Amino acid sequence: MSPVLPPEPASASFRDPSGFMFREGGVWLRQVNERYRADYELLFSSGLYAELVAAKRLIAHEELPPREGAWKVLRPEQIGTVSYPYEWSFSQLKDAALVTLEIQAAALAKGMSLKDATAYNIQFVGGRPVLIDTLSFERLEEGRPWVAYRQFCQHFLAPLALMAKTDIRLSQLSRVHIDGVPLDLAVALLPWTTRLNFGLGLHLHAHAASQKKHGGGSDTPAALPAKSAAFSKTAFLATIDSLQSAVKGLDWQPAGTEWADYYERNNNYGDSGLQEKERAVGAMLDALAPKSVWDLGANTGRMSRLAAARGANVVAWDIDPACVEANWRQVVRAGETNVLPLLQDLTNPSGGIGWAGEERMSVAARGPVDVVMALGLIHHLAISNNVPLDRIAAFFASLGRAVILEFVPKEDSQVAKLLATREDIFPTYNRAGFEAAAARYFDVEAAVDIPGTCRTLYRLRTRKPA
Amino acid sequence: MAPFAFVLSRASAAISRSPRTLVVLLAVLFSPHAHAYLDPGTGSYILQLAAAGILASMFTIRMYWTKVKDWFRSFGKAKPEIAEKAAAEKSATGNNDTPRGPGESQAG
Repeated sequence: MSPVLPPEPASASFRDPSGFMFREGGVWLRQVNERYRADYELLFSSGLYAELVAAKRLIAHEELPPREGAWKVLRPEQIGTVSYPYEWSFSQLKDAALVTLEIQAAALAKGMSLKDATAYNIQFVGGRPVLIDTLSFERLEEGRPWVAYRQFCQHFLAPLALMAKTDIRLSQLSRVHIDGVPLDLAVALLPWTTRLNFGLGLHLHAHAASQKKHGGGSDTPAALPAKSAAFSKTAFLATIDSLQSAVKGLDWQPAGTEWADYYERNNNYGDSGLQEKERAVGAMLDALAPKSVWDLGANTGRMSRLAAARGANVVAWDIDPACVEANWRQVVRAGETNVLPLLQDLTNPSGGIGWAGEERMSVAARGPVDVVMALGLIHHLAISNNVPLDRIAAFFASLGRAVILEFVPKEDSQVAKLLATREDIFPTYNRAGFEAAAARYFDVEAAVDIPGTCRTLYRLRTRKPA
Repeated sequence: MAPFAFVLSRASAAISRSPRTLVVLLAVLFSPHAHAYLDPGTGSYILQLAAAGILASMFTIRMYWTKVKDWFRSFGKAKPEIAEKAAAEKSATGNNDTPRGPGESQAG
């Protein structure tokens, strides 16, 4: 009899000895180790699991039959495209922060506490931020400060403050600092006036100063007290409450940025042109009937919603933080469950990062999806960024089993604008050139001219690699 | 609130200069280890301990203040209900003097 091989943990699942994620037959499962038994049982006996799942704050799971080597195996609710904090808009990160604190407050009320507070434990499921790490809870030890306080400040409060008070683009610091923005860096970048803000003064500035004082050397006490009478349960609740106020006090308004008012001021589509485009895209979506769609260059998600209305789970990627923000607010306002706006620079997409470059997946590693939509996008990649058409075709083919692509020719006023101040070094940037490039990777199933414009919409089926 | 952050950082500095102050001030219970798989960071721990007292006091005061406000609000709410009842009775008796809700009285 051959020995039963233990499952291979997922590349991001190795820090917590309580258990790990693994993939089996295309399904994500979670192993729970014996050492987590007491906390797992408390999660249920306290009623915390039921409360958080009912409130859609914690991912639901079912227990699978026991297996050798594992105390328990869980089958969590499966989620769509995984996303990371450096791909979230301001309000998405803020909502994820508030959900984390809400969960912590609920846990405290039930005699438990979050033992970590990483932004990577939150995923957007059904239009809401949800905690996906069922093993994050531990029994509350009265008198012990929050073990995840530093992590919460680095993963949430510091980047939110930087985005709101310094520059929205600083969300990208999370891409470099995988365990959150170091607080000394955050306070160096924040305006001096943030010291006058009680929450930011305490949780970022004083926190950074305390870290500096006790960061090692002779100043550090040899034995840190694990518990203190000073840290009562009220003090714990007050700390969480203070963090909540600090997060709620931060705001960012998406005004005057690149694309946010695109549809309003765009002169290539009048109302009727836009309707024609929607009709053509809708017909192609009907033909493809996708379950999963990535809309690249989605703007505020108008076209993404054509796919969502047809029942697909859609990720609406865009380079502009204002568009992603506006799109997320729309999701929240309308209670939409199958549109996920995310920030992405397609000329430098999220790569694999973290340990061995595998902890957080690249965009491509999270695909392929049923349909990639690339509408009003190709000229930005080919002309603004000088990417040859065959490379664009190859990239799209790696992301989707089919592609709906709008070709925007040089006659279009948007392209004319891009070429106005530079030499035209793109002799093959035309329909024939595009079709030749696409032919290497796709079968062209349909090509439709959009009435009232000089643009063409293509329905492309990705050819399987020979 | 800048002085507050300043006081806090001074306090934690004082604690660090003399670990005994920490023991006395915070009535510390020593334990061999905290069962954390994360390194919480010494500075982050000490800051939470240093801020615990003031945050807890502010929190408690606010909770009581909310209760007091709610108590007063419950008074305020009772009155319009009475007014509405009276108005309903008025209209039921065929009086044409159109009653206004409490929120409308200032509306131009």
